[in-house]
Amino acid sequence: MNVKVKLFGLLPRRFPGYNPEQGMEVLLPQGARVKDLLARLDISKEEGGIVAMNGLVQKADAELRDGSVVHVFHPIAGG
Amino acid sequence: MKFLRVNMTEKSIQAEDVPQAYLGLGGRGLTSIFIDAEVTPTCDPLGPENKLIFAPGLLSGTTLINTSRISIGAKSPLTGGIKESNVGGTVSAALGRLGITAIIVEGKAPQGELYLLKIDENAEARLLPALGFKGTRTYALVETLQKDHGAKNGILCIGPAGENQLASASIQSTDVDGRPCRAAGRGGLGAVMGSKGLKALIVSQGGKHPDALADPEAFKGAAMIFAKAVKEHPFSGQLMPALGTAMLVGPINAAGAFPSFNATQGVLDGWERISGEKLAETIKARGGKSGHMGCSQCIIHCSNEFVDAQGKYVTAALEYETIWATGGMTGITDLDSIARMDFLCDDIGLDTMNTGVAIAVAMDAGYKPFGDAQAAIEMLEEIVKGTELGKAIGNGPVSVGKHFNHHRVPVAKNQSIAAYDPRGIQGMAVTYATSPMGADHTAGWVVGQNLAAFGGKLDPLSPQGQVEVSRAAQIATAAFDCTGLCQFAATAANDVPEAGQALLTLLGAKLGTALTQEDVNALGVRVIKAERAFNRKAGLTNKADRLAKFFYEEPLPPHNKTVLVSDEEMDRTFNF
Ligand code: SF4
Repeated sequence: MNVKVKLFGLLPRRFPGYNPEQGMEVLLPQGARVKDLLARLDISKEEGGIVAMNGLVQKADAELRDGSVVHVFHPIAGG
Repeated sequence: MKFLRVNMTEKSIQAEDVPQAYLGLGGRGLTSIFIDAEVTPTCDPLGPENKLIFAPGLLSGTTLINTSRISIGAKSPLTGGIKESNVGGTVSAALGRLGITAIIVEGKAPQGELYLLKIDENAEARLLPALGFKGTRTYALVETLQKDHGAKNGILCIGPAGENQLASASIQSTDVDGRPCRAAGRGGLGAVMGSKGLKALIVSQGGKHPDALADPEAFKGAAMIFAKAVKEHPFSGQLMPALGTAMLVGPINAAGAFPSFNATQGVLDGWERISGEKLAETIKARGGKSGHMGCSQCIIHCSNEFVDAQGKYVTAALEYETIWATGGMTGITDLDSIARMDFLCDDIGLDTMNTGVAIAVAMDAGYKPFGDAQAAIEMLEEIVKGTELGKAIGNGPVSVGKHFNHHRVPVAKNQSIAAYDPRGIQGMAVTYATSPMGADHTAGWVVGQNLAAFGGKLDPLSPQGQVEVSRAAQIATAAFDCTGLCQFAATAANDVPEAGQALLTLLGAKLGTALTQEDVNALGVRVIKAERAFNRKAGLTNKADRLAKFFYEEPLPPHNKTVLVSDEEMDRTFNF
């Protein structure tokens, strides 16, 4: 399956040629979860702590759906 | 270790040893326990009976990094309850180095009089007449004060909003560059300062007599461990300097919890135009500054300096909450207008949150269309002119709601919410509703736990477990707010065990007693108990621990949830 990934914060600079307007397509096996996507992109949980799929934040174990748009943000803290 | 008591009725100043009851307290712990003990809860917040107390944190004035927060307390003219609002800048460390534990401003100068309180490098304090500064905005004020008294002074001051005793009036603090761009914004403490007839505090940064440490060696070692952890943590070491607090615009919109168009939408269409990424990019392209140091001894540097297309200074310390209040709530997705409003709020001496939300309520009521930046800026100027509408805006969202007879007013205890909608992150509903301060995001920030993909099961759209996390966060914050440390240094203390231990050692080495985590929690509980006791006596019972009604009735798109935390659950928050 295919998901479109959009990266934020300092994450885009990890991927040369990343286009912030379009994001990037990532091919994953059927049934892949949020944590599998992050592992594929080599984004650790210290770097990518908030993941939203189609406008809803997800936990690491959530299953991804084909054709989804996935936003990956840094973990947040403070107030 | 001394209190300076400044009586504005008699124009007298007295230094006294810190009374036994307040020993070992600093920051919010000192201001709140003091207000509860010494201020008549039913008094007029703008009358002579109210007291305004300035207290640097317990660790301010030491060599530890990021210890620049000063707590300011009084009975609030906005909420009618107790208030602590803290701010960074340079005054906290300066007072710490002078060995001053608190400044207490009592009484009230006769109508029409205005004063400066100057504290020199020997901790000698004087009241100076300041009638010539009547109505002066904060940028012009500090420029003159620095010319007259020297740039090596930290300044806390009010603008026209504080002099006019408006309930959204802030106390502005100078940053390390001497600009009044940092605010103790919440709760109208600027109005209390104005009511006393005090325009500014000028504090020498040349003090050389901080309180002695009980164990200087242990302190030194722990301070190094703590600084290393803050520097090495990705959040405080890399993210904050790169993006500042505005980094939150993206994730909070992605969560559908960014209150927009006066809290009728949870995603702001076009948020990418005002995101932290866009802000950093704009600042860089124009030659402004990101990763800017705002406060004394800071090694995180979350601040910034925003310049216009010509590279000319517009404002500094443009923060997430301000971008949200003046941008998201008003539907203004243009950083230049937002930066201009931030500057005007600082210059007039206004809480950007309460004021941005007040403007949004006026727009929602049909006074002007959402997205009209010119109209928003004109509303700010109305505040200075003192027109009927200006007074309504300057007194905050509730007063604007009354002015236009409009029901949708996003507040708790009369204070505007912050940049997290309680329907999109239900844990924030608990914090906003139950904090003794009124809706206050810093009082118990549970956003991270709700949105994190890893570690934790909280669902931001469900009330399940939210009371417990809010309670824990509120207790931890009440204790942390005693230290003088910036909250952005807390992440390292929470995540890195050695840093957490170092913080206990630092507090112990300052106070001369070994402290455990339980002791620190007990301090947090003690502070909240004092605050709630004061509120109860002031008439704010558990019935006041509720959000504005519309949050329970009007679902927020895109998730279409209302606040689902019941009143009974809210009342369980403080089970002590
Ligand atoms: S991180 Fe920001 S708010 Fe905290 S001390 Fe540094 S400049 Fe001030």
